[in-house]
Amino acid sequence: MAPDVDFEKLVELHYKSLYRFAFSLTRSESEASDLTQQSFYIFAKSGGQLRDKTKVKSWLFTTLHREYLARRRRIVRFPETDFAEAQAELPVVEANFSTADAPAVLNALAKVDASFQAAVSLFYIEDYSYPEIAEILDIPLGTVKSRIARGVEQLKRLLVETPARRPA
Amino acid sequence: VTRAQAEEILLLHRRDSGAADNPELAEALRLAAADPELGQSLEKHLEFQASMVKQLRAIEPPSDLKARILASVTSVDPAAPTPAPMEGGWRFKRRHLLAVAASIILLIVAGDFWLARNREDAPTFDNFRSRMSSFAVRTYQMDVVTNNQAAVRQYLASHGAPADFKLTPALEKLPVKGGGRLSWQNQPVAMMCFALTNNQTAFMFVVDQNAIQQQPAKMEMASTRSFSSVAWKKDGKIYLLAADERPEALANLAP
Repeated sequence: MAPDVDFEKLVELHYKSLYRFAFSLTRSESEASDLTQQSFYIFAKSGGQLRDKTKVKSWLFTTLHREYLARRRRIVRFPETDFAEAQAELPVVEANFSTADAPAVLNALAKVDASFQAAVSLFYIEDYSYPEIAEILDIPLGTVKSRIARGVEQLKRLLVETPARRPA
Repeated sequence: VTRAQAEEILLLHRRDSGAADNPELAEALRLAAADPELGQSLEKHLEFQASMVKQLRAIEPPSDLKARILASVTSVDPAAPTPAPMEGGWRFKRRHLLAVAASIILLIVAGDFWLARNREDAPTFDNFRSRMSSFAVRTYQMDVVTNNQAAVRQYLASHGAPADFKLTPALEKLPVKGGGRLSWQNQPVAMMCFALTNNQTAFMFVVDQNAIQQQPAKMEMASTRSFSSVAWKKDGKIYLLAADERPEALANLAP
């Protein structure tokens, strides 16, 4: 295990947000748990090589995302989109979303283009800045903005089309 | 910042993201404050953002996940090989290894090509014969098509190619088909074509002998699978006669 790291504290600090990120990508409890566990396992194996200890959190997110992509790569190819190209296609959608519940949000997120999901999830789950998201996903800053802008618009449209569930 | 640009900028805006270090965002927010419609749209968007954050952060992991994670890493030996290597890292390494391998191959091929080109470009007689024979076989095209030998010479002279060359008695007897002006090592080459008795064409190339730095002491007959050639030197010029013909038949046309 990586030296000079309080692993239990590290897990305590980050496992929930990592799980949320994984769950937003997979929408599967077992897969999300597995990805989270795997990310910490990899950190335990090779995280000691990480020089900047302040980057542990983003390192874990990056690792989780790579693990996720590795599993998905056999199925889906992820298209790259330029921000400038995306802007012209963005429709204006207005609606009241405050009533949307978590399942509705996740269902809608599941229908958002796969290439946008990770950026949108990081944007909302962790309040990461665009440069931080770019670093985690290993994509250019413009692509991050493009993916978030398009992903958010798709999300809005999907939530308008799919009314939120109301408690009985 | 125009209103349309402001809408685009605000689409990526979160309530807590600072505008102090982002002049465009500050300008877009100022526009939203002054434009009620844009302001209302921004408020709805921020409400959506807050809702998303709330709902996504409401996702709770299984209660035993933390314990499972800790249990899985307690026995990890960092020195041992990782059973499940990070895919991205491996791909990174593999990609770079492939890139390095491809670069080496490319360098070898480019080096070989460069050496080959240098060998081909050397102004030797062998290269001249090879290049002219290839031209005759592959891209043969006459600039002037005529039976008039004088007209061919006139064309060659007007295009800076050797035109005062002397034909052998055997070649003088053959009908001329035409000719053209070629270039080799930036030197003009005259081409005159003759009709052979078997409907074949004989190509005669003439170049100033100074254009060829390495000349064999004795011009020899050469023959490939499809072409034969014979060469000779006379009055400061090198003559190369090539045709799809038996070497002996071609030799009869040389001096």
